[in-house]
Amino acid sequence: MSASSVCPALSPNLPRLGITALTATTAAGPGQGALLDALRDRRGALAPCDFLDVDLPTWIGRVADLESVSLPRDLSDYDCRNNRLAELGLYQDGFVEAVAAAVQRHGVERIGVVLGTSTSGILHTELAFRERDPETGALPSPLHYATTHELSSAPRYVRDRLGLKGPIYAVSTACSSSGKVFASAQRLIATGMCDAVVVGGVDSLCLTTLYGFASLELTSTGPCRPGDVARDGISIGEAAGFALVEADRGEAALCLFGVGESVDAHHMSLPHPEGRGAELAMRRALDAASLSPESVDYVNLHGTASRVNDAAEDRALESVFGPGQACSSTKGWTGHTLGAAGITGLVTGALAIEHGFLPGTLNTEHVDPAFTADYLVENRDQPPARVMTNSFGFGGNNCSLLFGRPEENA
Amino acid sequence: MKLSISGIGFVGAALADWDEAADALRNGREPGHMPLDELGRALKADRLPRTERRRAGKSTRLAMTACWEAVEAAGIDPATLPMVFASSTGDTEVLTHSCASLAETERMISPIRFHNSVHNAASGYWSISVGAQEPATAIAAHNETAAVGLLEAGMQATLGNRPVLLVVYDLPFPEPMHQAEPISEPLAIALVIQPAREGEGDQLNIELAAVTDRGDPAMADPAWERLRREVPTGRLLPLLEAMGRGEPREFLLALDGTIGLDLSYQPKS
Repeated sequence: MSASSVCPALSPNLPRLGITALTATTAAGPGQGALLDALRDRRGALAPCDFLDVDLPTWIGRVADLESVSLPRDLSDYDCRNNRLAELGLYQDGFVEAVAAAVQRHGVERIGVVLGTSTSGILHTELAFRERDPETGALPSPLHYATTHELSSAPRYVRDRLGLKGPIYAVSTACSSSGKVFASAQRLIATGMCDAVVVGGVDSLCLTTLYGFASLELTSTGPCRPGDVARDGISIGEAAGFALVEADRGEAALCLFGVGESVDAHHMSLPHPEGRGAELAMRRALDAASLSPESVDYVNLHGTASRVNDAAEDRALESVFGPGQACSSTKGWTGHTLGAAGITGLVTGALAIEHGFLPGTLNTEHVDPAFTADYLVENRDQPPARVMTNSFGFGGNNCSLLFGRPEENA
Repeated sequence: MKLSISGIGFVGAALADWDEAADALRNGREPGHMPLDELGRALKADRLPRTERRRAGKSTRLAMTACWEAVEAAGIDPATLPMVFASSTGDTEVLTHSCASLAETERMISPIRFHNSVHNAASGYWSISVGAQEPATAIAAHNETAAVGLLEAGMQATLGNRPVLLVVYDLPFPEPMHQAEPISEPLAIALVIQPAREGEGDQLNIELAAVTDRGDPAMADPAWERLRREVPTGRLLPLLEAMGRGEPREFLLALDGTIGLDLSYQPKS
């Protein structure tokens, strides 16, 4: 039974969006240029874990020098690792200037902010628990919970930093969060609530995810090897990425054609073994874009390098595209950036489109022989016009984004 | 957006369900108090299998209890409904215990506590329980969480031209987090929201508006007003009061200092 015949896209006739500005800051460095150079030079950014006093045998994708980033004085209540990462990420690739130009076009009230995160500034609270009063157990006061740990702290920070006044919220569906923000933005624009939306994701290293994934035995002891027959787990990374999206007026160099959202309804922390929910998300993205599977040139996989995730995703790819679909996972460069994985995947795909190459997969030597996709290990000199990126999370939450050059969608 | 509410679920204030809450709102009875450690008894209606009930966090059980009541009142198969789960802080117990454990020398976080710590834990358990593969989102906006929940669910219902399940829920933090973020009571409100149809059901119109003096959301009863102010989910209570009493009401649900949702409720005529 074809999934698309029983479950149509949530809102099949949404207008496509123009992506008018884009940026990502990952372990590869601040801005798109750093990620592009790393991808082309096949230079990974993962390193043995040296985060705080974490004593786990794992590798991480850490953004350098966040400790020295400072927030403006009037926004100092927002100070925490996650918002420092947001601040660093925001001021790359001319993003702030692009938002200022959008303010000229639309006005501050017409621009919303919707950002994904899994843990927001929880590190701030984790560290505060180390400072509890030995007598009373009280935390240091004030904790500034609402402006640090609370999930909408980063979108609120971005709104205040950029002087925007439209609706703001956080989407927190674990590792699919910053894919799903594009669906919310599409709805905000289609209903006329906003003219433009700053979307993206900010997720930073913290004890909860490092020790949590380790407790599930999902972290690799070395740099992650997505799709490798001997893959043995993920490497956790951190990232901030942003996109400015507006109703497409035929001027943007990059368009979001469709978003597909689904859930597995299977298990809280394991994907459906056949990738049932993943398949549905990809089909819904194609349906929403009115595009056929053949029109997708490259899939940037969720590809975390966990044994079960990579296998389930390959099954799902085969169901949607048939065998031989060109794809790769770029988690070997950046690590799995969790709530920022969707936007990291979109920026990676955008770089592939703009610079005419398909990124391969880093650290991987022998692709799992059970896989049927065309799983790229080396970079390939081939310009893609349309790219899909997948992000899947706990709770069986899936999101696929389909985007590309606008003239290719005619 | 022109919407209609076809099912309501209510957990909190020591009231058994929406019928009891509506009766209290209609007859000017004050809400009761539900301490966190007595909450478990109120959540038997989560309908989780016993093993899952032991695993799931209280916030999940709180949300699911409200969801069941709403979908049954609407008479809609929950597997067909897209899900919007909105909570200001998610599972406050799990988060507090995790942060406390990670400050100990051992730094233990159990696999179950870790997956229960994600904000979409409740929507995950719910979707597994009802077999729903429709889109599920989990969102937050601190004290404006109820407003953005209504916004997101309203947009999905309008654009998809189909009913959507919204649940807004909050659990108080245990100490010492309660000092930093004082949420006074557990509270969950679930609504099945669908596009309004001519001559059928009630009507809820939602528009984005500038914040003005118009549409004061305050509740007349001081005890209900406290619940509205002290629990982010409570911001929906003026709407529930209007629905419970079958009275029209217009009020503003703030999104931040300058904008909000202009809500206009018209009961079924």
